[in-house]
Amino acid sequence: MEILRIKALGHDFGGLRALSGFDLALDEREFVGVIGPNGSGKTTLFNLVSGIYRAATGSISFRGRELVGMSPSSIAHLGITRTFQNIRLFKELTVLDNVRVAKYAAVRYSGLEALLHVGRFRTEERRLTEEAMELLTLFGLDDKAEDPAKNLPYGLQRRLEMARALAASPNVLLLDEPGAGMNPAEIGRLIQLLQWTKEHFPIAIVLIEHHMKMVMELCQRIKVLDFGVTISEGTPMQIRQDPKVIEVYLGKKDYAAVAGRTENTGYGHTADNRPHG
Amino acid sequence: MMKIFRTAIHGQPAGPRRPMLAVIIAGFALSIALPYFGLLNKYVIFVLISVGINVILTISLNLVNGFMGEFSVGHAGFMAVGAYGAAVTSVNVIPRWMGAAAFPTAILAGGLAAALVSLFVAIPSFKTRGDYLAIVTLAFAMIVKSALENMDVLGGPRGFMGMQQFTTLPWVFFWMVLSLWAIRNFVYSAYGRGVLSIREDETASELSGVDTRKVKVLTFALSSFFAGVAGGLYAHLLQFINPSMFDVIKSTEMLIMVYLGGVGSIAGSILGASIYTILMEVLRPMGVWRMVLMPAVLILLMIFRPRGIMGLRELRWFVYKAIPHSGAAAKGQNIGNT
Repeated sequence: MEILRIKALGHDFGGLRALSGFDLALDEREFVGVIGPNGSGKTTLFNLVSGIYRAATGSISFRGRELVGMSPSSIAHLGITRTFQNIRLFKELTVLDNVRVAKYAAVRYSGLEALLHVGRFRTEERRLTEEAMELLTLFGLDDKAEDPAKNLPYGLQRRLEMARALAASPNVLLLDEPGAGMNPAEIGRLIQLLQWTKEHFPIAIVLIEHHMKMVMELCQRIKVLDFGVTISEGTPMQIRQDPKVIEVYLGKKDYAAVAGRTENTGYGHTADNRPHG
Repeated sequence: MMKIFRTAIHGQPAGPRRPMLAVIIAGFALSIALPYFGLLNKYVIFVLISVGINVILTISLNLVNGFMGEFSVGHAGFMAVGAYGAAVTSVNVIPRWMGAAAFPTAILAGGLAAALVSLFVAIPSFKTRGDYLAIVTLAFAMIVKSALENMDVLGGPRGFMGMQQFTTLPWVFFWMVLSLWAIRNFVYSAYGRGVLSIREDETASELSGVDTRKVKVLTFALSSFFAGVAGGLYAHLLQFINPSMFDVIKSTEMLIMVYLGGVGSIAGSILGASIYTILMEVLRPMGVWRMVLMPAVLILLMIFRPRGIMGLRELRWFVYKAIPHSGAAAKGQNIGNT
């Protein structure tokens, strides 16, 4: 069943067209990848969907509700959450509180009850905390619950950011380069984590990533952006063989020479030259 | 996971707040007994009352500046609104025969007036991101002061009087505990976590589903309420108020107490207000030179201890845990005894 429909989405910064005519129909529990060179509009897409920017043209509808013009917190509340390319945790807060913040909309007590710590407050806080601890346990972070988030190693910070994004029980999760700055071994673990996440939570995932290995292994469908325009879409197999994609990533002249033996991304630090399959 | 919950649920529910309750009761008893038996002279009582009022002001400003990470520099404006609100209520509204019984009503009126006025500042300045609050609050404090100076009904620059001296040590102790308790409760709730997350990363907070505008306005109103309460107590201590009491120097004093004691800390607010108030009394012989010392202290503080003595740390007594004794005991962030 379709959960998110993006139609003819476009946005520009001054005279620069960052994204134009973007379409996407996302089904429930689907895993879609968005790839493209730096500056191709991938993060802009996420910023539009999550409400940081207000789309200049087009529409985003989530279960029939128009999201353009809504505040980011209402969009999160409706069921779309995200992570960031450069981790944005609440550094001075504990790991537990990072997750509990995301349960803001789930509390069922009034401001007065919060001020006096009476009524539903105690039972609600206990419920929230137990739920948060459960989530942290799933992500293997329970023993670090009382540590400030800034003390976590990089890999765990990434994981905590995902736990936080899942804390509000979203239906759609937007992951912005979760593999940035990770080595191949860490990427392998991240792929497992994402596969596991997808099985455990009833969510659809949109993944922006430069690591081709991740995108190819995880995504059912891939969209390729270049200068804000969708230049290709299809299954990983189709994308891998699309001359237009290869041209964007590798340049025009010699794509024929390399196309056959590699899906090199063109990014030295993320290149993965082993053939797939 | 289950292990943690077992210890949490079946572990001893010994409340870390019990010793706190004992301290509060003992403190309240002392605040009645000491003046009653004449164990303290009038001057010491006055200083203690000032400490109490300053603790309320400090925790109130700390909520906005320390916990939420916004920057209000005109809190004296809200204190002024509270002072005048409470004073007018007790002189012109409440019949005189009701005496001290109506005192809480006057203080509440002052607090509510300040909270109401704060909405006029908060709603427009939180519409945008950035540092507008500092500019708006600074302007607001000036507007309040010159408005009061030009309102003849309120005595204009000569000031307003006629209040009875209702502010006694037990009353101040009561309002101080109430302010600390309410703000501590607020901080350890979903709203409070929203407040802290705004300080850490407003965008991430918004994207995690926190209604940041609502949280900011609510927090600012709560903060102003207690600044107003402190103003009301102040008015009923001196029995005379005039606009120049609530000038930039007053706002600066509050900032110093917050940044001395420690940003984002309840214990730090108590510490900062106490140290500063007593230090200023001890240095009274210095006269106007105290006003030179004050900014110097602030500068040194910013250089050597930018977050203050207790910056972002909390005494364990004040920490609320939804699940008592859950797994790893509070560490790192929390210090304290037990």
